[in-house]
Amino acid sequence: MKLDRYSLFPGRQLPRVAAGILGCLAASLAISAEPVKVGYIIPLSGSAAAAIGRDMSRGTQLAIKHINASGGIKSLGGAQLRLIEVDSRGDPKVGITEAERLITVEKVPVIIGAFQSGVTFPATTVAEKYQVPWIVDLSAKTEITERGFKYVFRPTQIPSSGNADSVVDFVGWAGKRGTAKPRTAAILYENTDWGQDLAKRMRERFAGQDVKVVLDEAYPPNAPDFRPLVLKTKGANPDVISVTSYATDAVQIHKLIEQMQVNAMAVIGSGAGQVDSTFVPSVGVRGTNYTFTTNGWAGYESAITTPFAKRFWDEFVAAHKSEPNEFSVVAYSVVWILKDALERAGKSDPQSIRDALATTKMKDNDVTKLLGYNVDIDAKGQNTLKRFVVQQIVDGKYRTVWPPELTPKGFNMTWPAPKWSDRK
Amino acid sequence: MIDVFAQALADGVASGALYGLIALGLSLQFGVMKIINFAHGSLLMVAMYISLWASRYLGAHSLVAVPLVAVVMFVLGFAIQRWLLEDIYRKEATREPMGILIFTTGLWIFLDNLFLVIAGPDYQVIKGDWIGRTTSVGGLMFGYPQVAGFVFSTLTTVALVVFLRHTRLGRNIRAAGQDREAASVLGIDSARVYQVSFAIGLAVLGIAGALLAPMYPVNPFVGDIFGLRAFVIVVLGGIGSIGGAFWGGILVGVIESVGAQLLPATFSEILIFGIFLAVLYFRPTGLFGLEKE
Repeated sequence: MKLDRYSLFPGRQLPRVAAGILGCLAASLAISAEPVKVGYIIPLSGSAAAAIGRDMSRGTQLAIKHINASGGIKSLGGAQLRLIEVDSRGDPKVGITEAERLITVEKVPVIIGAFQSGVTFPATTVAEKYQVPWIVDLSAKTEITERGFKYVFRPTQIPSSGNADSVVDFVGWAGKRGTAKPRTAAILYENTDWGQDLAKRMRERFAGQDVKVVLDEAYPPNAPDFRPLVLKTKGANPDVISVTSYATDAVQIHKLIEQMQVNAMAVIGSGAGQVDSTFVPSVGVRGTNYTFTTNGWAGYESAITTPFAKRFWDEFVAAHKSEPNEFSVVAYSVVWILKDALERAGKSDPQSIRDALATTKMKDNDVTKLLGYNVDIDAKGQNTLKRFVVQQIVDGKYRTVWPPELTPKGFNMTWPAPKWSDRK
Repeated sequence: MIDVFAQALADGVASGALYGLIALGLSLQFGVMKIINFAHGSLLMVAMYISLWASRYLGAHSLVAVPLVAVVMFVLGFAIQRWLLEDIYRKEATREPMGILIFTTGLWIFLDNLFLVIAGPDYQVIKGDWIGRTTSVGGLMFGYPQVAGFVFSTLTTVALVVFLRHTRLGRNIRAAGQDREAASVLGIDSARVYQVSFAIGLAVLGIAGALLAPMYPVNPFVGDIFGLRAFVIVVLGGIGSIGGAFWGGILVGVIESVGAQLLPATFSEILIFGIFLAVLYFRPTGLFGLEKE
C-alpha cells in the first residue's frame, strides 16, 4: 500500500484514470471543431495609415465576434474563427515577412489584408508562392489582380481607376447641372503607387471631359511643409481641385486651402484622408464644409437598411463611440465573405478555401446591402461590381450626392462651393 | 504671378526660421561636445507632445505653452546628459565618441516606440481659434502660427547668440567647445558645461516643438520628418555655428518653397540634398561657417 502512494498510477485506480482521460478527449472532440485561423495583416502604426488600420481592425474583430457568437462555420461543425492580427507598420518588408510567418509558422489557411497597395502587392506574392488564398481588403493598385495569380481575390475594391473615374464622371455630371461648368482642374496626389495610379487615370479622363488639367503635382507623403504646394495651386486658379492623400497630409492641405483662401468650384478628395474619422475634427467644420470626396461606401442613410447592418452599426458605435466608416464596413464585410466561402468549402485547407472564394457570388443579401454593391468574382479574382460614390461634407456630415439616386431625400448639393470670404 | 513668388519667398523664410531653430540645438551640442545626437528628431516629437498635452489638459494657449515646454525639455536634457550620456562620453574622451552615436540611435527608436504605446498611432492636432486665423501684410497672407513661428524662432536664435557671446556661462560653453583641455586648465568644469549645453540644446528644441505643434499634426514618428532635415541644415550652416543653423534653415525653407513653384514638389528634396552634398564636398565647413576650428 505504501508503495502505491508514490507510484504514478496506483494499481486499482488505473482504469478510472484511463477512462477519465478518454472521456475528456471524446468530449473535446464533440464540443468544438478545430478553429479556423485567419491571418490579418494591417497597418496599426507608422503614422499615415495607422488610424485607418485601426478602423479596419475594429470592423474585422466585430465580424469575427458576430460569426463566432452565431455558431461559427456550420459546415465545419461550428468551427470558430481565430484572428491572428499583425501590424504591417505600412512597411512592405514587414508585410512580406509577416505573410511568410503567418503561412509557415502559424499555418493559417487564409490571409486578409493589407490595406496599403505598397504592402499588399509584394506580400501577396508570398501567399501565391505557398498557395494560400489572400483576400485583398482595400488595396487599389490595378496590377494586384492582373498578374494571373490564382490565390488572390479582391471582392471589395476595384483598381484606383474606378475611384478616379467617379471623380471625373461626377465633375462632368455636376457641370451639366447648369450652375457652373468647370473648365480647369488641378490634380494633387501623394507620390506613391496609389497616388500615381489615380492621377494617371484622371489625366486621361479629364481630357475627354473637356476639362484642362492646369496643375499636375505629385508631392512626397509626410512632407514637412505643404504651404508651397497649396500656394502653387492657388496660383494656378483651377475650377476643380482633386486631392489624393492619406489623413495627415489631407488634414494639412485642406487646412491650408481654408487658411490661404483657395477658391474653387469644388475640392474633391479621393476618399482616403477625407473619409478618415479624424478628418472633420482635425480640419474643423468650416474648413471641411462643401468639400467633396469619393467614398467606397454610401453612408448610413443609404446602406444601414437591414437588421444585419443595424446590429453592426449599433454595436460598433457602442464599443468605439464613433461611427463606422468605409474602412470599418469593408473590413466587417470581408470576414463575412470569407465565412460564405468557408461554408461552401466545407473544409478549411487553403486549396478548398481558394476554390470556394473563386466562385463567390453574392446578390442582394445582407452583406451586399451593407456594402452597396453585389459581389461576383471574375477569372482574375476581381469583383468588378464595386462602385465609388461621391459625397459632400456639410456641417461635418457626409451626404452622398452622386450617383444622384443614392442622395438622401431633402438634401441638395452645393455647387459651386461659396468663396471663403463669403463664409462665416 | 509676382505675388505667388513673393508669397513663396516669405513663406520659405518663415518656415526656414523654424527649421533653423529645430537644427540649432543639434548644432550647439555638436559644436560644444562633438557628439552627434541621433535622437534629436525624436526629442522634437516629445516636445510636440508636451505642447499638445499642455494645451489639452492644462488648457494652455499654445504660445503660453512655449516656455513651459522649454523648461521641461531643459530638465530632460540635463537629466539625459547627466545620467545617460556622461559616463559613455567620459569613457570615450580620448577617441571618437562612437558610443554616443549608437546610444542616441537607440534612444531615437526607443522614444518613437515609447510614444507609440503612450500616445497611440493617431496623429493629433492642437485646437484653438487663433490657429486658423490669418493676417495680411502688403497683399501677402500669413497664418498666425506661421507668424508666431517666425518671430519667436528669430528671437530665440538672437537670444542664444547674445547669451553665448556676452555671458560668463556662454563664454565657458564656447571655451569648452573650442578646447576642452585648455578650458579645464582654466578652471572650467567641463562636465557641468556639457550638462548645461545639452540642456540648452533641448530647451531650444522644446521652443521649436511648441511652435511647430499648432502647424503640424503630431504623431510618434513626426520627428523623423524634421530630424533628417535638421542634420542637413546643420551641415549647410556649418557644424557648430548658431547663426549658420539659422541661415541654413532659411536657405532650406526658401529652396523648398520657391523651388516648388518652379519645379514639381517632389524635386525639392532632390534640390536640398543636392546642395547638401555639394556643400559637404566643396565647402565642408558649411556655407555660413562663422566659427572655424
